[in-house]
Amino acid sequence: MKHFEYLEPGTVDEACGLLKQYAGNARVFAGGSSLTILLKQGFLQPDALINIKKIDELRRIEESGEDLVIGSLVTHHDIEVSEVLARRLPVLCELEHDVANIRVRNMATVGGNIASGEPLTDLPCVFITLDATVRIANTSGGRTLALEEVFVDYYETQLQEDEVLTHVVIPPLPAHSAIDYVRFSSSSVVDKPCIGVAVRMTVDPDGGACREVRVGLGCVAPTPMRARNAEAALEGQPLNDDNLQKAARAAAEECDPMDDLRGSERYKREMVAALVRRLSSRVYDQARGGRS
Amino acid sequence: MAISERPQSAQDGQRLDYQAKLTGRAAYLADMKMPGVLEGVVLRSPVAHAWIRYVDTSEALKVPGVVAVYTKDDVVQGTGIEPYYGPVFKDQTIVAVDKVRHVGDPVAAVAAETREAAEEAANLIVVEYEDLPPVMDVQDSVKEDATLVHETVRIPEHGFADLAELKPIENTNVCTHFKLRKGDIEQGFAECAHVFEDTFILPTTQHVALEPHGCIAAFQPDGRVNLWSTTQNPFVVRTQLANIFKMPVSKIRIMVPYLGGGYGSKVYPKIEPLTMALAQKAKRPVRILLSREEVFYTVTKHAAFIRMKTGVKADGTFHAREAEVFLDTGAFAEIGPRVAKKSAYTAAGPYKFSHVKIDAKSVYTNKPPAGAFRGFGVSQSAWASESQTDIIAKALGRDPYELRMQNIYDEGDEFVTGEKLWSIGVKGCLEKVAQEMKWGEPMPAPDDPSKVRGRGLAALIKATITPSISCAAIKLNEDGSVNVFTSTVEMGQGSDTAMAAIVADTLGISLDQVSVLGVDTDVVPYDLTTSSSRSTFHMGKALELASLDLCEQLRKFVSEEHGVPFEETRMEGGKVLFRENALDIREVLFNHFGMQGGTLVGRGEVKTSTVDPDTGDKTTSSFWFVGAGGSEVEIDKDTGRLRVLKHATAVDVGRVITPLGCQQQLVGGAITGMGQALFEQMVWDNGILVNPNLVDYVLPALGDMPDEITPIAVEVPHKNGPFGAKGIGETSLIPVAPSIANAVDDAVGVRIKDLPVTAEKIFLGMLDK
Repeated sequence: MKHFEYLEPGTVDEACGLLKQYAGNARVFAGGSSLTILLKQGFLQPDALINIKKIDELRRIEESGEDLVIGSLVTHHDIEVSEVLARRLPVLCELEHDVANIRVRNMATVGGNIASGEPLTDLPCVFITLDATVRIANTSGGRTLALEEVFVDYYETQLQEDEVLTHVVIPPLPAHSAIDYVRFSSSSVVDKPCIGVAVRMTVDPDGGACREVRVGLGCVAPTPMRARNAEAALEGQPLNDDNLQKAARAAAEECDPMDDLRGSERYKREMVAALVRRLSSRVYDQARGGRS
Repeated sequence: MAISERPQSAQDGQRLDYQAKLTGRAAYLADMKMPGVLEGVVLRSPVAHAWIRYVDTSEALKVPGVVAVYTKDDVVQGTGIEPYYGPVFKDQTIVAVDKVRHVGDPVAAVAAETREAAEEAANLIVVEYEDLPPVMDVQDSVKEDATLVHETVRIPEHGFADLAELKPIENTNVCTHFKLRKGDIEQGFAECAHVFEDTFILPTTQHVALEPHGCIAAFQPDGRVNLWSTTQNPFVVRTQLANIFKMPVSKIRIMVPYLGGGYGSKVYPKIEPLTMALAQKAKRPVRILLSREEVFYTVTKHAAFIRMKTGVKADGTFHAREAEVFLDTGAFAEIGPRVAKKSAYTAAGPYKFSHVKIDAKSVYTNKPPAGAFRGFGVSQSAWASESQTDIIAKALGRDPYELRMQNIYDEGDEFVTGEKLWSIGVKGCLEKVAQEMKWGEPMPAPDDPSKVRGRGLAALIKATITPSISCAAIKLNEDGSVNVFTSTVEMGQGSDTAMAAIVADTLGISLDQVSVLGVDTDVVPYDLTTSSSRSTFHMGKALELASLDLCEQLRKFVSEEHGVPFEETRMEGGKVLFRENALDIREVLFNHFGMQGGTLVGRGEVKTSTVDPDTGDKTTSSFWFVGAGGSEVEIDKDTGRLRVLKHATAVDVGRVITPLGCQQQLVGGAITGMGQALFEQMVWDNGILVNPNLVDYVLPALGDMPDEITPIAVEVPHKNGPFGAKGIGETSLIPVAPSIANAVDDAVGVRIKDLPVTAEKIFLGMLDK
């Protein structure tokens, strides 16, 4: 591993200032679970690591008005055991039971999960179906982006060299809504996911039509993605075998999976179809049953 | 000798090593501190197959802290080193000399004051390669126009007795071709009502012992060298080092701390020759600790391609078995020829065939060397044989259990080699497993309608290394306690506890009076190897004999001192009894030496041969491993995802020595088998290993395990084992994969013939049906 400066700024502004100073040759360090591997393997050789662990304001999960605000230093384990999330979005707590292992969940952070651009991961897939946005700090005041737009390609995000992702903001779910997520592993339960599928929808209490359908897919494209054709196939109608099948096939077609150790392209498309079908049906029943 | 009663000392006991290991105080090689030690770093080949044009170390030598850089020049330029070595054929060199033969092949090594300096220097070594086409699988490798991995292969003057007939086939990549014949195969098939032909495949896997390989070498002022090494067979490594460095074995001392798992990955020289060479050149102690990635390049399990043809009579009698087993031994023969031989012996499975024709070929490729792996060639042949047994049962409309029981070996049956089989409780194992799995009873339907269940069985027979030697000594101290001198390496298998129990029970003393010393080739008597599940049987027997030797010495003292005929004395409960007297060991020693002090030494040795000394019959194996396994699986029809709900494993252990240790070995082997069955495979892309790490090389986790893994010890004692005990280390692993594949077929009618059994293969199998 190459030698590097190790810095611990006390504020977000200070962190952005340091990042600017190193002009692209510094890396933000949060939990380090992903970055340390890249450093050890020599894929990254930064001049400085900027550990943001002292910035306590990034460590909180809060309700702000109707919104939920999750700080970038919140760990996977924090989410797993959060009382606020258990009440508002239990899907997040549940999915975290199966993420990696407790040692990783204790260290790895929400911010790192997003900013690493790692494609084989769970949270971003759920966040995009929740229409989440992210707050980004930089040396010129900061900006807000839809989470979906943060991701550019494998391990590549919109974050600029002086920017720190500070918060994920999740708007409230409409009434008569439900959301669920399936983390599908094609081998060991502790393996990285082969596919992640998140489905959210609102169901009209009268007539049972699906509204605001979101189908999020993880691990089957360079970035987490929404399956918009699948969403359209369900939008505005009550769920039935026909549109369920259409949505499943649409999702399988619009994703862009790679052949890799966790499955062939053909298998992954088949699994996207199977899981979209299974999950949409479950979420529809939940939304209609009143569980939101 | 009559078989003794069941040993008592460890019946409720714990492992002797549990406190040290649970508290983290057990010292492993990487925990050792040595003053003045240099850190060694290995530069490895980035390409699978290439000529080495030149190696330039000039920039590396300029790095501050660098003491020595070792390259091919040091191997070849008359430094008193024998360049070529290897346990069977001399095809390995300390670092690559003319060619690199796999990604990760050592090309040079640096010794420096710090690891960072050594790494920096290694990165500055310039190597020019001239690429050759790599051969990456056995089917390509055996083609006539395949590029040769080795242009020539040297044969050692004194090889292993059991492998003397095995030679490489010149101008091919076939490293060994072992043939096993019985009867007339063509006539056999002609006499059959049904003939089945299938091809089975297993991928390369790795042992992934918790502790990576490591070695420390320190030359002494008198020219002797001390090594601490992570090895399962220090005496074999010592012999190899003596040959390479042209030193007498007496000048090489190898010490082995607790080993963090072996599974076959730490037999024969691994990093020891390079560490010693670097220490010799640097004139300083050197330590090399491999990273996880380097372990993947150091040794693997043989991938295999197996063609199996079986002829069956109308009534289901197995009659003719033909098999061609291709084992991918990678870039170096290592112990591959013996793996091929053992694979061949059991390619007919634990079943009676009248006609057998087996051809097992160990084949060179440009992959890391494959060597010993728990199961030693048998998990490969059993995958084929036990899968095909179910294919046959299904085609004939027979129950797989009944068909197995119809054809399976029984006491006194003739093995494929013509010898008779004794102490062979495989029928009992299969029976017990079937009972435990509720074979024949309907399975409860899953709650979830998208899921289906199935059950499968598998059985096996395996040989142990024969001939072999185990020598042991026990020191009896003046307080009646003993020190056990054994070269059996405690690597997690629980051998220290088993050995101590055998000694304690034979002497009639308690377990806490026994301490098992560490392994040090200058101190402990010779033992061939801690592998092949041989230690309890061989070393355990040697220690039983050594204990009996002590008993005899004590009785002799009493006999002489008290004028009692020797035959009227006996030893029981740690006391020498004669007439109405009982003298405890301390009293006997005090009386003999005339003061508080003195030592007695008991000696024992076990030497097995390929001829049974009692009957004069041929003996391929000093005892046989037999067992059976059963799996119940549940499959999600929408995804192919499989969950093993239950696994039962029965092993004929001869006699249980330590109940806890026995259960741990049976369950541990089954867990390793689950990984091999479901997840593990090393994957190459254009000669490059894609997954030399534990993110992408998937091991089984607790969450993948069934709720129940039931270990069943079947006891058919062996006349030559201590208390009748046999080895148990490998048996339970072998039936896991075929029992799962058989259960998958039972559940969804999909036959998986290539490991691992993945969700994708099951799903696509259902889809394409």
